[in-house]
Amino acid sequence: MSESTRTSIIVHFQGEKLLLSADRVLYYPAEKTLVISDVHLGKAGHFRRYGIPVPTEVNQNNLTRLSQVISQFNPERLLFLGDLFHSETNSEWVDFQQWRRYHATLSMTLILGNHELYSAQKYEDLGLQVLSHLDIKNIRFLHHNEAPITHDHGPQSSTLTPAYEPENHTQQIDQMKASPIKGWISGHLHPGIKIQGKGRQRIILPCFAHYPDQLVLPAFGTFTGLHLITNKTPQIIAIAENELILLRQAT
Amino acid sequence: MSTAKQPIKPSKSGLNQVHNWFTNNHWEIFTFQQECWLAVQDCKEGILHAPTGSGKTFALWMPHIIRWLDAPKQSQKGLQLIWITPLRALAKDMERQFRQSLAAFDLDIQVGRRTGDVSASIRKKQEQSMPQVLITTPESLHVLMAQKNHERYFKRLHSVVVDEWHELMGSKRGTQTELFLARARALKPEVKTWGISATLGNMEEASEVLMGTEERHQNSVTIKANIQKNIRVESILPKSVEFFPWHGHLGVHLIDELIPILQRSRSTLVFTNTRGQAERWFQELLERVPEWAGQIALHHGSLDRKVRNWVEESLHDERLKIVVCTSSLDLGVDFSPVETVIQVGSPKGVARFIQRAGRSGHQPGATSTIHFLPTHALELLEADALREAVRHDKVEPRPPILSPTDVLLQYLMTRAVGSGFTAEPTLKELRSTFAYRHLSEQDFHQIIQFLCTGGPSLQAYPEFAKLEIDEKGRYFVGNHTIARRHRMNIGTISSDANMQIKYLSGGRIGTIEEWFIGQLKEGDRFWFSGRRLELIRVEQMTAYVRRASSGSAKVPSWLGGRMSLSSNMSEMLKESMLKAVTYYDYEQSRQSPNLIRPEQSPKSSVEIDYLKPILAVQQSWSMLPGPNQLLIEKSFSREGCHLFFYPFEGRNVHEGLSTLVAHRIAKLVPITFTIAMNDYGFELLSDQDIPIQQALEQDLFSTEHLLTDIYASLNNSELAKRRFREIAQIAGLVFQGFPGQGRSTRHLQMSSSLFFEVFQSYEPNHLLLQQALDEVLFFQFDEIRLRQVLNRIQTGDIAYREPKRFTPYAFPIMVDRLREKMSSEKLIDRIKKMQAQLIKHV
Repeated sequence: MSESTRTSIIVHFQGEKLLLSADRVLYYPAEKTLVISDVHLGKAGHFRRYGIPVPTEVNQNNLTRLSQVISQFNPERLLFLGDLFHSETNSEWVDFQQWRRYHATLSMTLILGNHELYSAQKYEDLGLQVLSHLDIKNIRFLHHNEAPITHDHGPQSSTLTPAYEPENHTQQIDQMKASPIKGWISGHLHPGIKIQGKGRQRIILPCFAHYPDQLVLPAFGTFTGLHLITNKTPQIIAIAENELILLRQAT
Repeated sequence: MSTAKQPIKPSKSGLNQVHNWFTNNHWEIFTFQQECWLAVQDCKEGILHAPTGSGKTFALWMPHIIRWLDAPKQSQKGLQLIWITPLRALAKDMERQFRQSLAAFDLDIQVGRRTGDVSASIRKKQEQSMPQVLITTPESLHVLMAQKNHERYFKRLHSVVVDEWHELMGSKRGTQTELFLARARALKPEVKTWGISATLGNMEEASEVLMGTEERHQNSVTIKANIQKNIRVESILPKSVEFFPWHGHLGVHLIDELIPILQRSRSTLVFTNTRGQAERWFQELLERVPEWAGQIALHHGSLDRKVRNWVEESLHDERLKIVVCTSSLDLGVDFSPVETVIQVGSPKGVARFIQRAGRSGHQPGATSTIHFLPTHALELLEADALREAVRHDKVEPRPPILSPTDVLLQYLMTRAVGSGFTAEPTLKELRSTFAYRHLSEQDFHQIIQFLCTGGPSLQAYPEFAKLEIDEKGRYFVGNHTIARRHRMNIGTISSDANMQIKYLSGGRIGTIEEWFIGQLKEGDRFWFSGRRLELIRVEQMTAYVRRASSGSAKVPSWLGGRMSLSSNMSEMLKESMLKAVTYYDYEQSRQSPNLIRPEQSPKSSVEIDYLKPILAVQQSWSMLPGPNQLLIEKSFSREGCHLFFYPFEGRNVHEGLSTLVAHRIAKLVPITFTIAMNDYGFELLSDQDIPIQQALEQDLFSTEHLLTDIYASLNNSELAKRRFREIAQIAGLVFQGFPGQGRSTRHLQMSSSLFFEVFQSYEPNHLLLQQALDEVLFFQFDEIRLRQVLNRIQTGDIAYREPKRFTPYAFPIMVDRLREKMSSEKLIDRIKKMQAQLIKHV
């Protein structure tokens, strides 16, 4: 595994070639679509509204990085996998509006996440197409797939972390019956992995979690925490600063 | 005390009546008590220097009885006396004592308690009509000051008594006490302050901090209770030293030696250092001697108040034979003394040890015996060190905390949430405290600005609205959510979220740190409150449990059990160590007639004698460092390269020194360390060979560039980040949510470490980051202390060994799991190495 570090990596998922990048994004070349999850815009502002001082640069930094990945991949469509906005409207929405105008020609789609508090109209006004999920071929893009199909979950994580309670998913199940969806790409979890080494060293990194039928993206936003996933996950692509590291399940 | 209820004829003066009451009860009036009564009558203020259990409470309570007896009834309205105690648990006992004596004199004076565990309805009643006497804690007073118009409560305030001042001083709660005193004095300049303190190494300073200003201090009095206490220290030893583990912190291997002592004694307190340790001991004792069920109890700070009250009352009524406890029973009013006191593991400080010993044999002049139960072999030396420290009365000083930014931010918010404040008089008030005596106008305004704008510049952060200013220059909080949040947050000077533990049927058992419950699955079992419990489910900060009949169960470990030896203790320990080595050398020389041996046998003690076989192992595998010798050992294991240093300077100094040493080695080669330490020494562990020889050649312990290196190693270590946790909590950045409120507050939760990182990248000069650095510099990197230690190492010699196995000195450090990090490698290189290792194992 000497060639295990680089800034991007290609994975094969449900017969499609997908590019994972150390910039915490996924690029789908065949569809010219850039997929980004959990930006949590406006979070810093939300904290400030409640008297907790968080520097304005936090939000600016997220927007700057968004612009950078756009110019890097030059996509035709930007797909946000939910939690683009952290909370209620605040001045950071205005920043986003400006940023949106700057990228006016680019088509942007938002899949609603649990942090999106408002009706679709509010987001459509910002120039975003709003969906509950998006199906491309037999892959479904959504915010959170709360019942991953074939793999083992962490030790009872759902019972003790009520943060990830199922949202309204009856509709999704109905549609699942209708179309032959075989793979799910989602965000929501903010996956992180702990690596241990000799000399009692430990490092925690954000990562992509890759299962046969599911791919979970890391959170794009910087002012967000991590949720540690189990190292039983078949394939983990960890992000160390600006490089990717492939960690396979130890067998 | 049951006879105390006889009413007394109101014909004589108050003082006479109190005298009679004492005589009727066959109590002696001590000189210091009388001195206090007269001093208070003379409108003096000051500090009473008296140990627990000496009658200190009556010394400062009786003068108020006298005053009320002498004064006309109408002058007795309103809050007159505030009695501040550091522990909620003490408040109740205080209340009972006060009520008893008031009843004896037939005085119509109300006594109230106002602490975190008093119900909201009682607090509401108090606010409508304050009792004349209020027993409370520093936090509760700050909550009170966060009320609008709180000024009205203090109109008739006569005195504030700060009990157990030695316990509060040197902590941020001490600073909170200072701030309250300044407020009370500003509202009512005639208010008198009295402090009660056990012996401290800096008594003079203790008085100065309490009085606030130089002038007040000059006019105050110090009264000393001349109570001589004899303390005997006895070690509990196993049959043979071979049975002694080289590491550990529980000490249960000595249970068979302890049981006979417990059997002989009518009542015993077993002091442990952590709550987990107390749970374990309680469980082991019951398993070993089941017939003690009902006569043995557990007491620690996480247990529900009702449970603790019951234990305290039962102890008082002599219904319990054994109580296993933590520092929760350290302080305390004069509940009846016990016959025997046991100390499990190092007490870490001389003052604490003396205080615990004083729990037995309360009669003046009597000898208190304290049994010391070491948890591992080397800890035996501490018994010897403690005995010497007690003999020479080496009680440590408690330096007061100077100008903490987080407490000031919290206080200004409290004032703003309350009645609001204006800048000028507030600064004046702040400067009348010891802590903020030198607060500059510039710093003060910077702090206010921080609360108003949230950022470093005058221009406010968008939507930031914490502190606002009205046209009259009064600062206030307009946003109700912020005000409510602040009130909730005052007083939580503990940084871990606590969860309630409740039975399914509803009974409360106590609280436990969230992270412990987070490790458990439903159906897992754990020990708590001396019971085996099964986790049923977790709901909104409450863990529901039921009794589990059998099966193995985990013992919770609470964080925060890692105290450092006080500097006095480490000094004494070092001496005991040298004594042991000298004695060992002497014994060896006697066995080989060729060696010249000293004329006189060096001093020894039971403990030192006992340790001989272990010292022999240390000697043969490595060496026994003598005076002015620093031993460094290097060994290898599957984990990598271990480097041990033994300066015997106490955990705090080792924290700084180890980081400095790691930093200097890491400058030579790219390398990553994890660092562990105890009171004796520290360990650097790395996955690669550590170039110690090269480092020593390049003056590893030089005092040159010390300050530069300290700052550099600070930035590379996590020490400041850890300090920042508490600061973020006090300053109100980290918020645990309202009780019973789930989701909506979660949008506002963020770990302190993420704040730390954000501030580091965008506002490196942030006020609170600065404070975190200052605190590390004060506690771990005390430059003067470090310089002294480095000088001592440089003038002495360094002994370097490469033992094949971990030595008795190394073992207790090596097994420590809690580690610091320090790295000069690139992140990506570290991960690559880790991966390479991972693959080798597969």
